[in-house]
Amino acid sequence: MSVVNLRKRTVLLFCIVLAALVTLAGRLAWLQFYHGESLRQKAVESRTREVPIEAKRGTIYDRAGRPLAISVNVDSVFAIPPQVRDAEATARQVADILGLSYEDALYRLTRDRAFVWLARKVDEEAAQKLKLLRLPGIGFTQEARRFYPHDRLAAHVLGVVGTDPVGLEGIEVTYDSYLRGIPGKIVVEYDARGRTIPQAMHKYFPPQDGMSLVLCLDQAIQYMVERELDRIQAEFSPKRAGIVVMEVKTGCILAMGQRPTYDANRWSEAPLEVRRNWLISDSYPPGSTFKPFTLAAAVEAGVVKWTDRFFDPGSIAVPGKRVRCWKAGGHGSQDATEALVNSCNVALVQMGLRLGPDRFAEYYFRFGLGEPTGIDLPGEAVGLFIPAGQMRQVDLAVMSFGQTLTVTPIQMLMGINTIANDGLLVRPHLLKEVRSPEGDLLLTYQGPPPRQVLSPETAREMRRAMEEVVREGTGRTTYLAGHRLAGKTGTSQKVMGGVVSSQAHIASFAGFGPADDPVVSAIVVADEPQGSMYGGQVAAPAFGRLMYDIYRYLDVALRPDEPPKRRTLPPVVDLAPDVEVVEVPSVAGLPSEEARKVLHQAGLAVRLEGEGPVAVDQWPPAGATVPEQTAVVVKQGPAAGEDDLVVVPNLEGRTMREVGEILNRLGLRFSPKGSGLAWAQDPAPGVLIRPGGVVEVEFRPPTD
Amino acid sequence: MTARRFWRNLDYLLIAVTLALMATSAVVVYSASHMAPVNGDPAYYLKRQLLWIGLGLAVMIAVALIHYEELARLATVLYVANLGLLVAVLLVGQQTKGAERWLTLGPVPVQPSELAKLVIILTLASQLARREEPIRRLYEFIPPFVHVALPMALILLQPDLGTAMVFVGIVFGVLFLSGAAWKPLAALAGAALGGAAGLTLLYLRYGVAVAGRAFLDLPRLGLVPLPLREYQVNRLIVFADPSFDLQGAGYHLAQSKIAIGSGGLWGRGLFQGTQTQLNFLPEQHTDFIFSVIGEELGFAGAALLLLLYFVFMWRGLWIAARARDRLGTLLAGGIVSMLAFQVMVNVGMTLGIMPITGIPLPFMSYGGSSMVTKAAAVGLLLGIHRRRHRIQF
Repeated sequence: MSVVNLRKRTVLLFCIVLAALVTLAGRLAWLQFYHGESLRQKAVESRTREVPIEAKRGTIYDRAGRPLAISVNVDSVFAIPPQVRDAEATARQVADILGLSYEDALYRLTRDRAFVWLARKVDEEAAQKLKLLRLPGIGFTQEARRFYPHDRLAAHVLGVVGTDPVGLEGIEVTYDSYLRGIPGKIVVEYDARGRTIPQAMHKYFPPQDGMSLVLCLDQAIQYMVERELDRIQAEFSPKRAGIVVMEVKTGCILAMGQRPTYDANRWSEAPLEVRRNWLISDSYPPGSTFKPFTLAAAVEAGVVKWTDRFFDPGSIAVPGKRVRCWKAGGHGSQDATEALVNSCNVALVQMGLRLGPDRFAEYYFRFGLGEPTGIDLPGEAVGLFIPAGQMRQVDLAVMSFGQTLTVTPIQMLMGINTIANDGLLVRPHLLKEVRSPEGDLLLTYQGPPPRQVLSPETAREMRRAMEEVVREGTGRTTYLAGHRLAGKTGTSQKVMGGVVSSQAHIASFAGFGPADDPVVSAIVVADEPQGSMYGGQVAAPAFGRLMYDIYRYLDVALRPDEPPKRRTLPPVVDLAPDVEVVEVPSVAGLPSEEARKVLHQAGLAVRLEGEGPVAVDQWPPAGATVPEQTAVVVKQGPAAGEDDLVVVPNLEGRTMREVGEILNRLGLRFSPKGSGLAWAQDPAPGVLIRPGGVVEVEFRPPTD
Repeated sequence: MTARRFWRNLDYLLIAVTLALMATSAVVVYSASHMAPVNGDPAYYLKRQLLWIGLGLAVMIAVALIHYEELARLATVLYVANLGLLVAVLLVGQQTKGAERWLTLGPVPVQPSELAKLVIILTLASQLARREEPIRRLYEFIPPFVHVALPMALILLQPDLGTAMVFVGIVFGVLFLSGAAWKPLAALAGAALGGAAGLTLLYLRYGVAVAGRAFLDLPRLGLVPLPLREYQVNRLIVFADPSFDLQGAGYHLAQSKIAIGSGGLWGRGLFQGTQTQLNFLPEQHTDFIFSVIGEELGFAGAALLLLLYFVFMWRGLWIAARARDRLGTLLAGGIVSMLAFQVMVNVGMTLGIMPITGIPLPFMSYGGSSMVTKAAAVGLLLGIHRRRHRIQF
């Protein structure tokens, strides 16, 4: 090989090497000069660790301000692996106290991470034990655990919150963005010399607590609903049972409950099927409870007059089917009101056929049955309906008395409520207000504008007819003198696997009261009750008992001058016999034994609940009039009063984290200034202040 | 040959550059490791590195004394012995981070793949030097490629992708200098580059995560014996898409860039770089030592280091051009190729323009095998330089 060629190649190789090194130098300059500033910023960020502080999730109140879901602060344990000194020993101790496996703990403690969770939301005792050990690299932060003070009460409405505080079900999902709040953080800086100063505090960004919700739900009415559900379950052991109560004028849901149910504080133990709110997400054939809609539509459309007479020979032939009335031999001749009172299938078929598919469908949609009600809960469903274009005569006939088509219980209630509300459709909803953590009103629920479905005259006539159902018809099991209840029973056959079942029934009752000026409407549904299948026997009595209590709780005046009955039928039940009524005295604040005595003297029974020396709450509330020997539930709790004041502790020399923990435990609020260690405080140590009071603490960097 | 003549014929510029690099290494290794004491001794790595430097200098002198032609005569023996060592690593080697790279000789872990680089330079150079004519045809490339492919395959099995890549650099460097014909050489280099680029494009085109998964699953299914472990695939993916794995492989790159970028012109000063001192940099005294220099000594220090390497390589090529025979030229050229390639890949990796492969920075990273073999390479260069004059006759 020639020398020239060798030289050439050497020079070329030299050039390649030079080019490579120049490239590297260029890239170096690019990073250090062009990107230098942003990379230096990143360097600062990577030297500081952010310890998240969860925002306190907003409280959910009932409409009277009674808490239904609150958040309590509990400790979560984290590790900063680079600060852990003896990983193996630490892992052994941590695993022991927190109930982790040693391998898992060691893995977490030695990860190449700036921050790892060891355990979230641990119980008080474990956290205390671990804190006493003062292990380097192990830290604590407060996180809120959701607590439902009434366990099962309205569990399906309130829903469920996951570990990372995100709503998973119910109201907790719908208004998650309000409830969630904005998490805060503590920025911890690593010592620049590599020394580990445990918990060296740098900056504290307080979390912004979530907003509170005030629901339409009324805890007292919800309790009544739960009570009736328990009773239905005890008497008829249905597969499922549910009750919804609605305020007629506003659409406010006052109570919503169902069986089977679960303890909201142990929701993870309940199967999904039990947690499902089927009152909004499952549809069922409404059966006879649907008949008021057919009648109202026929009257409103002008195809039926109240004076029209319908003859029921026991069955009616429509193309493809002979529809029988439930009463063998038929009801004979009856006017429109009597047809509803008798719940006569044949007469309702005649009305439906007069309407025809188009108008039948039109009113179905005007009653809002073909669309979600828009209730503020997740997972709402819509029932089945055969569109006018595909509707055969036989379909129309059968749908006229509430079979074939399906609706959800909440849709059904909205429809019945429309009749109660002078033909004006209002949407059911649970939210009343959104408030700041301090209680300031931020937002009031605004529903869509109501829709006029029926003329007020038709609605009034319908109420009269539905009151007749209770006075003299299938609903007379719910008749209460002076209450003027109105409604309609339903005993529908379930469709199972596409076949109408003769075994499985749904008993229901939908109604309202008082008929002359309705205040509340309600629906009671029992799925496959045992012993009886009739709405009039299973659901209507529960409706009556519920309304009896609600009238008294809401101060609805009785109507002694109700119109005379047209027929005289023996009352099936009389829930208001000649019982003495007494006024419930106030026992709040009394020692438990004293409270028991006072209530006994007033002629009432007592049921004590909870632990503690003093009665802190009662139900029914003071001033309510109830029948004699009604059980008053007295909730016991810790004594309140002078002891409520808290002694401000001496905080000098504490880190910001420690101060936060101490004050939080005492129920005091914390306003930090500066950084470093606590140096001055206001109020001074030893001063007595009310819980919730603010302690201002000034921090200064430690001097050594 | 008298001792006086030996000392007189040494290339003191090369020695000065080497010593400067070694001294820098000692200081920076200390700065990068003192805050993580081993057995309570913050100077543990410093002491050991000084030991390697001392050992390296001794080996350097020894190698310079031996005539490289005598070494070349042992080529076959060395080649076979080297293969034996590499097989031994696979059989009884020590594992670190998912790869078997170490053989333990008494208290000292030895990395035969480091030695293999020198052996391959020596044996390849002697193979090519024996040829009468430079390579002209494509098939003539087969013998040298097979020669390199054997140890390279064993190293890939460890797996040590970085070192295997250095072999590619050595082969092309030596072949280039041996005067191999332009076109086939360029075609082969193009094929090698194209293969690598194709792989990267594949990742980008067919979705990084999906492709990564497919590549990871294939070896498990036994369809394609891909010689890459999961972390290597991740590192390659990260090179193509740094956001792929910010906590794992991407973390190295991100932290390295942050450290270098926060160095500025003059750096934060030795023992003052926060990213280094607080252990944010991974493997900071070994593979990522350049990032430490970037942070603590700034652009000035890092550029000066690159300049030192440049002087070293210029001197190496200068010696190659003046060697008294083809063997000397190819040997020196191979050494320069090896060092240049390693510097390029290592520094490029810390700067985010090369994939993360885990090659030490010559003369700088902590580690005995690397330091001693690089010193031996300097010894070879000195030996070639010492015998340069005879070509004048």
